[in-house]
Amino acid sequence: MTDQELERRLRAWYRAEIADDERAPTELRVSVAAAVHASSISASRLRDRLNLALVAAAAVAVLAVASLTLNRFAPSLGVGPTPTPTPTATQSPSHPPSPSPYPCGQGVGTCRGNLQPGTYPTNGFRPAFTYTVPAGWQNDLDVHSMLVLLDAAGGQYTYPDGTTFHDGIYAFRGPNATSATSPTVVKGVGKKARDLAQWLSRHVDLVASSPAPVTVGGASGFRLQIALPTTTRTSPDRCTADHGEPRCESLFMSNVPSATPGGPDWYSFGIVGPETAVVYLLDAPSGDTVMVVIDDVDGVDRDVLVAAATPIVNSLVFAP
Amino acid sequence: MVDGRPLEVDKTSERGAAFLRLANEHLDASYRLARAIVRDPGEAQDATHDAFVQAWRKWSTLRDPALFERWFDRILVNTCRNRLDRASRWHLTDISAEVVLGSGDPISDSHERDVIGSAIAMLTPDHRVVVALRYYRDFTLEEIATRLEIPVGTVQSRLHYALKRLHAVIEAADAKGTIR
Repeated sequence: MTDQELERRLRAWYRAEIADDERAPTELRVSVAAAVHASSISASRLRDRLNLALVAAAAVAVLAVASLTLNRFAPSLGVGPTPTPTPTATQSPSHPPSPSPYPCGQGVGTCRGNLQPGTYPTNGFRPAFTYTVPAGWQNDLDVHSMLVLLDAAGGQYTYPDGTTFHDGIYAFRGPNATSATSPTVVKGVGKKARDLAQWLSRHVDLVASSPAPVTVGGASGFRLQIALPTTTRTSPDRCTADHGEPRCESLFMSNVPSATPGGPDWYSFGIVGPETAVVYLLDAPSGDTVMVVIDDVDGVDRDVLVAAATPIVNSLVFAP
Repeated sequence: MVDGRPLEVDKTSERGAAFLRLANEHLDASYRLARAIVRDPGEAQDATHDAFVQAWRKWSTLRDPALFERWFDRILVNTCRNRLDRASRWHLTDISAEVVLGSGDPISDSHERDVIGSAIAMLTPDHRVVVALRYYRDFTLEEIATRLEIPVGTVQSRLHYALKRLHAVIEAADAKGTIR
């Protein structure tokens, strides 16, 4: 049998197996539509559910404080090995985990949903680290290039196109400075924490603080605060087309070479409207650059969010 | 603003409606592609459903709806491949002794279909995917590489080994006179 003969038989097999006019079953069409509608949860219902989770988890908050203290002191004392990622958030039968309002899973990482107080290792995010949360936080996403922790008590902001984002902590692997006019990398800006922090602090269309040196869980880098100025930006930004928000600035995108929009390693990060953010740019022990953002999406309760989120960011311990 | 994470969208929003419009438009072709990869209609239905759910979660990351097909194909193919991985539906056994002699037009013959189908089922998930994209969808190597986000050389390599395996299995069956 020649290659051509094999190819002919394969093509014939597919033609015989699957008719050109074969249609998807009706129940599939219905189930897809139902799944889309089912994932649409109103903001008020989400808040109600998270508040309930917060009350349910309050009873174990004391344990969370103890866990937080231990995990923060152990590395700084410099004695003993780096703490092993211990699942201190073992679920007590009397405090079952609340259902997550997000459809976690389905091949997109292993999102944990509502978190009991405790320390958790990242599942998909690389470089791996552990994080410690008190009650009231939710793991919304944990994939190779991105991890999201949402603050149940935090605010939210709905853009003109109907998309809603929530206050929380967002971690990104390998951020690249991105152009305001096209989804491309800005030439001449390095990929290390210092390069990106300097670029951000000098960005003409941002109000940014000076980068302050920080060390987080074995990663050194810089922290700075950013917001949009009230003045008109110097040039149009493509991000306006994303969610219909006229005030926005595209800032970072994934640097994974194979990442394409929609792919598992793709993301973009920008700042929109009233949003303010505390940005940590860190050189992880693995050699990766990691960006951690405390993101106040509505710009209303920044101080409260930062007070709640900073201990969590400080609890990060990167794998060697 | 973060794009690349699950979104929460009011079901009446235009974005939700836009997604469902595209989903409806591509549903049949997507289901057929899933059939070509996993073969079993029930598995194909589940894979297509899961892929659309995943696509909906990532909907905010698709900037250009014109790229929907290519974007969704990638999600669908990965979903099918993951399902094949989990189900371990390929079994590396010699089927040449199991098939029986057919007659008439080999393409319309159910035995020919069984032999080719069984041979394809013996491939690894990665190989099944490239074979389906090449001989069902008639994609070029470059188009397959784009959809799978892998180098063209990798596509070439996977196709080479897949065809080599198919050659061996089908020729063994043919040589035993079980096909024609």
